[in-house]
This record gives sequence, C-alpha cells and structure tokens, in this order.
Amino acid sequence: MIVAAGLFLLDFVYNQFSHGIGSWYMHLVPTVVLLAGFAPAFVVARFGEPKPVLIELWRMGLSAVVAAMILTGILEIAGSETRSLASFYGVGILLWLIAATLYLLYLARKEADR
Amino acid sequence: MKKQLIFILGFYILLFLSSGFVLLDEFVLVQTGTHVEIPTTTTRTTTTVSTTEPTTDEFGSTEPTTIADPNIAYPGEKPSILNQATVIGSYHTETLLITIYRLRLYGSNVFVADVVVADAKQILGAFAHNDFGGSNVVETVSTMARNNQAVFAINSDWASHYTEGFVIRNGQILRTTDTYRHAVMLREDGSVVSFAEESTTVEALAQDGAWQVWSFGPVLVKAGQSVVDNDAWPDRNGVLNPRSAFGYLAPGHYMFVVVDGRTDVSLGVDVEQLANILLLLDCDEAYNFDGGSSSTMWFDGEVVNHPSNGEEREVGDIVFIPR
Repeated sequence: MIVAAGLFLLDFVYNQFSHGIGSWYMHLVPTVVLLAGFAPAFVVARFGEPKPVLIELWRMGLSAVVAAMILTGILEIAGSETRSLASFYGVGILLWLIAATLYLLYLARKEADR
Repeated sequence: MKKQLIFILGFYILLFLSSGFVLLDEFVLVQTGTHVEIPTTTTRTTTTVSTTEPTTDEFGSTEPTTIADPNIAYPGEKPSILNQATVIGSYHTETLLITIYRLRLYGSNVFVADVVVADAKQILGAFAHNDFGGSNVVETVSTMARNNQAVFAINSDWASHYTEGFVIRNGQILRTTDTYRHAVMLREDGSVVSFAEESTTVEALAQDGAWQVWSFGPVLVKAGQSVVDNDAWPDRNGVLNPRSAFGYLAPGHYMFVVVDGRTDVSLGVDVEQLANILLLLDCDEAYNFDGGSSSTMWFDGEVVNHPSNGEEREVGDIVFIPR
C-alpha cells in the first residue's frame, strides 16, 4: 500500500513537470503494485503460506516490472523510444513465473502428502 | 540463508545500476554514429538582407516592412493572413526569397518563414556535429546554422533520437527501418507528400526522387485539409505546447512555422490549432516537427522566437537554407 501510494505520488509530481504529457505506464504502476501485492495475498490466505524465498522471488519480479514501467514512462514523456527495457520486463515476468510455479508444486506436494 | 541474502541484495543492486544505466544512456552518454557530409552549394551573387526590429513594444508593431525587390518572383498572392503579420526580416538572392513574419494566433506568437526557392535542393538538412545515428549528439540550432553558412534554419525531426523511422537527408539514405509513424518527403522536383512509412520502402522513396524525408509527425494537413485529431495517440498532441512545422504550397514554395509556448505571453498550440495555422498559410501539405523546448527558428544570425527554456535547447538536427 505504501509503495503504491509512493508511486501514485511520483506519477502526480512527474505530471506537474511534464507539460501535460503523461504516460499510461506511469499511471498504471500503482495499480500493478496493488494487484501484484493483493492477489497473491488472497491466494496465500486461501491455500497457505509459501516459503519466504518464494515471496522474495515474487517481490523481485514485481520490482523489475515496476522499474521497467517507470523507465518506460520517463522515456515516453521525454519523447524517446523505449530501448533495452524488454530484458527488465522479461526478468520480472520470469521471476513471477518461477515463484508461481514453485508455489503450485509446493501445493501439489502438500496435497499429495495428505 | 546468507547465500539467499547475497542473491537478493545482488539482484536489487543490479536492478538499480541497470535502471541508472538506461537513464544515462538515454539522456547523458554520448555515442557517435555516422559522419554525414553536407552537400556544398554554389555561391550566389546578389544578396539583400533586411531586418526590422519591433518598434514600440515586443509585439506591438503591425506595420509591415517594405521588402526589397527580389530577383526571384513570388509565386501568386501571398496568403491573406500574412497581411496582418509583421515582417521581421527578409533575404533574397536570384534563386531564393525568404520573408520572416510574426503574428498572433491562438494567444501565441507565431513565426512564419515564407520561403521561395528556385531549386528544392536549396533546402538542406544538417546534424549536430555532422553525426547521424548516435545518441546525445546535440548542438543548438544557431551553432549548426552558423557552421553550415545558413541564412535560415529551424529544428527538424531529431532523427537520431529514434532508432527507427525513414531518414533521407540531402538525397542520402540514412535509415531504412520503418515505424508506425507517417513521414513526409520533399522531392527533388520540389513537391511534397506525406505517407505511412509501413506502406512503402525507403528505396522506393529514393527512386521517387526523395531529397528529404522527415519522420516525426503527425501529418497536419493533407490535400488542403486538416487531418489531425487532438484526441488521437499520443496524448502530447492535444496539449498546448511550442511547435515547429513545415508546410508546402507548391513546388518551390514552403512555409516553416514556429509557435512559442509555455509562457503567459505565448500559450502554445495543440496540433489541431497548428494545422489551422498552416491552412491559414494556404498550405496543401503540412507536417509537425519536434516541438516543446526544441522549437527554434533562426534567421540571419539570430534566433527569432523565444524558446520555452529561456535559452536554446541543444537538438539533433536542423533544416536550413544556405546563403
């Protein structure tokens, strides 16, 4: 929540100095943080707490995606084409997939152990 | 546990450094590209320059200055909107006639260069440090204009700022990759046409006699009609801003326009208003160049407009007309 609020503030402040030019990437960053924070929380509450390392992997993925979105926004507002940011998105999504897959395997193993 | 901590810490340090590098690479680090030679032009013998400083206050004078008789005939009647404008300078040779006007439209100061050339090849492009395709290779419009013995110059499409999009300068193909953008072409015969880059190839444009191809946009006017929409993507189009534009009336007859903005004196215009200005100037085709603080018009040794940063921004390229 605090991170999302901070990013919302960043978007607001950035807009004050961007001569009316905005970026949807910047606008959507707080929402992505909220979704990527709350959605897993609901899953975890329903199915059980994963290992701390999986939570950390998920956070790292989120950090990479957030950094990529902020940078995309800054470059868009500056009128540049986004270069070399595909790897940021790639790493972020890969970490999310690894965390989600390991969590599913953990749940499957837990189910099998019952 | 310690290994995990090192891995996590390493990841965040790497992410921080990578983000910093992306920003440095985009805005600070200089990387040179290809050296581009500017064609030499023949020396002309007859030259007249007349400039008029504003009389009472900065924009109070409405009395047009008498233009010295040019050696090249003005094609037809000048656009009627220019009868309300103040002439702030003129220059002519036997093959060139440039008149610089200032007028008030949309709460903004509009600077118009009415250009008549005998040969479209008199309209040239130049890059900062004669370098194309690098990053952060920039100079002011003034510096580039002086270095190329220009009499007139305006910022253009900052072609090196992008990695894609057709670029032809002075007949030389410099970039062949297309984009989603629409480009505009000035042919060697003096005609001008805009087109979707995805609809053609740069080689086909060269075959078609392309002398200059600029890739920025949007296209403002096509076949004498406004074709822009403030609500279309990107959203910067609908914002009041300083603007630069290129307009075409007939082969050899062009308008270069700069609108000041981001001040209380001059608000700036959106792209629909800019298109209307080019229509008032009787343009059949018109195209938007890089704007914002890049918008700069230079004539006979001086910047004629007021760039919004309060001083000239360093940009990547110019369109210019040599003396």
